[in-house]
Amino acid sequence: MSKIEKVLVTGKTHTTQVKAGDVHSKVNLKLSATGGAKEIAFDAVLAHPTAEQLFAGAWSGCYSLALNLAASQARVQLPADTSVDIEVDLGQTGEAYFLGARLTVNLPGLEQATASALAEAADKICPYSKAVHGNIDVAIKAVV
Amino acid sequence: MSKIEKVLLTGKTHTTQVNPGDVHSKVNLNLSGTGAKAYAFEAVAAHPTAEQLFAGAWSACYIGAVSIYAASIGVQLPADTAVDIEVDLGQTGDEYFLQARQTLVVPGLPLDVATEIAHGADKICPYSKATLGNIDIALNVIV
Repeated sequence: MSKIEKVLVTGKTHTTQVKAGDVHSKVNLKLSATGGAKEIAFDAVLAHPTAEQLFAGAWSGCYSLALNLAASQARVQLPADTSVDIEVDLGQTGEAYFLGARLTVNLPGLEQATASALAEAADKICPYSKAVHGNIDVAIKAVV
Repeated sequence: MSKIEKVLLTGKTHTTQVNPGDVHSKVNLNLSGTGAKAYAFEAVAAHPTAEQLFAGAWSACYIGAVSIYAASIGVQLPADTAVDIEVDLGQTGDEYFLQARQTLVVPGLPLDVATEIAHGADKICPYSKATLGNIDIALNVIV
């Protein structure tokens, strides 16, 4: 684990339950941030799969820019229709809950080997990929 | 790392960039999921939106884990129970990393009970488990 020397931005949440203590209670999510971002509020949503949507959104937003960094380091021009699809599963093994994820990087027109190398390189840059590395099952696929 | 035997739910995203290849490009986030309504964020800056969304995911799951753990030890949670999570994106040298601060607010509970619930829930919540040992996490309780 590496310690952060310099904080760039912070995302903040304040979360309450409609019925505190009820494991099936809906939750009120209030998201805010430093860095001039506007607040986002989700009133009384089910915790799941909303949580998995939000995590996949966080990861893909960051991973997309990591892909740009990887491409500029490799001097590869990304196609205009580049996209990233992430699916995050919540699942069970016995009684314990775990996450799993599938990342699909769409790079139409690139060579398969180049696309696969960019997808792997971005995974090593993206702090969300690093945060879950070795702890959850992640499948990465590049589609050209 | 434990493999999932049974998938309960899946959150899906489709993300594009306004200017692919531009590291400061805004992104279009399309969030959907099995059995959930879709949320769209058109052309937002990736950060700190990503950190907001991740903190939101974690806190929604963690507060459910708090309920599960409290019920397992027969503790009634106060009606004004809340969870505050802050996720930082930061740099060390040229590399990017995350760190987080989690605060469980359970007004009126004894501090030792609140602390036990905070740590017990941390062992249940799959987001806490997914990041365990990989990012710096501070867990606090307020009673």
